[in-house]
Amino acid sequence: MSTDLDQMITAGLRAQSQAVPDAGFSRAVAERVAAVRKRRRLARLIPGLFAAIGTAVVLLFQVQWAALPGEISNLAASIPEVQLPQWTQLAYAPAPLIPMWAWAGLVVALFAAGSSAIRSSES
Amino acid sequence: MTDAVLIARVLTDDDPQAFDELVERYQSPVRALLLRLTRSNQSLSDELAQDTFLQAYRSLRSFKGDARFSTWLHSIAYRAFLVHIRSQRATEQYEDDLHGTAIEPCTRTSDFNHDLELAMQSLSLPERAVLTLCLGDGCTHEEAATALNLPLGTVKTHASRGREKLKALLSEWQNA
Repeated sequence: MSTDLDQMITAGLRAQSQAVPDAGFSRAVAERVAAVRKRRRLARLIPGLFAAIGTAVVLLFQVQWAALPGEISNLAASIPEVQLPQWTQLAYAPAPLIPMWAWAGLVVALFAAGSSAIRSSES
Repeated sequence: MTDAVLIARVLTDDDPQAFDELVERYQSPVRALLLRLTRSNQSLSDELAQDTFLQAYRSLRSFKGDARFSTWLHSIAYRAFLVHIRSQRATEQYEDDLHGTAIEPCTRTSDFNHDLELAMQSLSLPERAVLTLCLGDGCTHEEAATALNLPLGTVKTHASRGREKLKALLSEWQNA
């Protein structure tokens, strides 16, 4: 059986539940909800953005595949000739034409010089 | 305009005014529940209430309409509060909430609502939640069980025990 105190408790709790003043609460929630809504709109753009980027990449590659033979030719043509440094040119230069008698004279001279050096060291 | 119409407008047109209307309609009971749960911690209850409505907005599509919208909001608010008290410091703060505090009849003041508030604060957490929902918001025991994710029998026990404790605490007002 419901007593007066029961009714007072119920009425008191009910009054308290209905009497919390807004005091800017709804506006604060509205601002946060607006931020969520904005993020959602941006998030909705992301799949479209990825699709656009993907399409652009595919198209770009298709264009490059089509133009590949021409591009290779252009690339080959654009390779500069290798310029070696000066000293390498000297090393790679063909040997001067020396007559056989000069080579023989050089060998005899070197042999005589070597023999003379050995003899002088032995004495 | 009914809740169902407002919810439909939010879902179909993303109508901000429709959701604002829902917030204005239910801010008081949701904040009252959280004020009770947080023992009148105004800033914390408002923060949790904001999180509650934000969560409601995010997951509005999952609201099936098989319970009242207020019940659904209360369940989100209660979960938000439980998540809060699971943090280490908050658990210490609400340690005695699980069992309530020792019951001593309130010294009667001239304001019944003030005494009622003090008496409510001495109840355990589930008793406060059940009484706020069942007596304050007019929820049925089934709705309170849904909102608090508790078995129906447990809700009935909390309601009965909480009410008896309140009557004991407010006995000075018995023959007012």
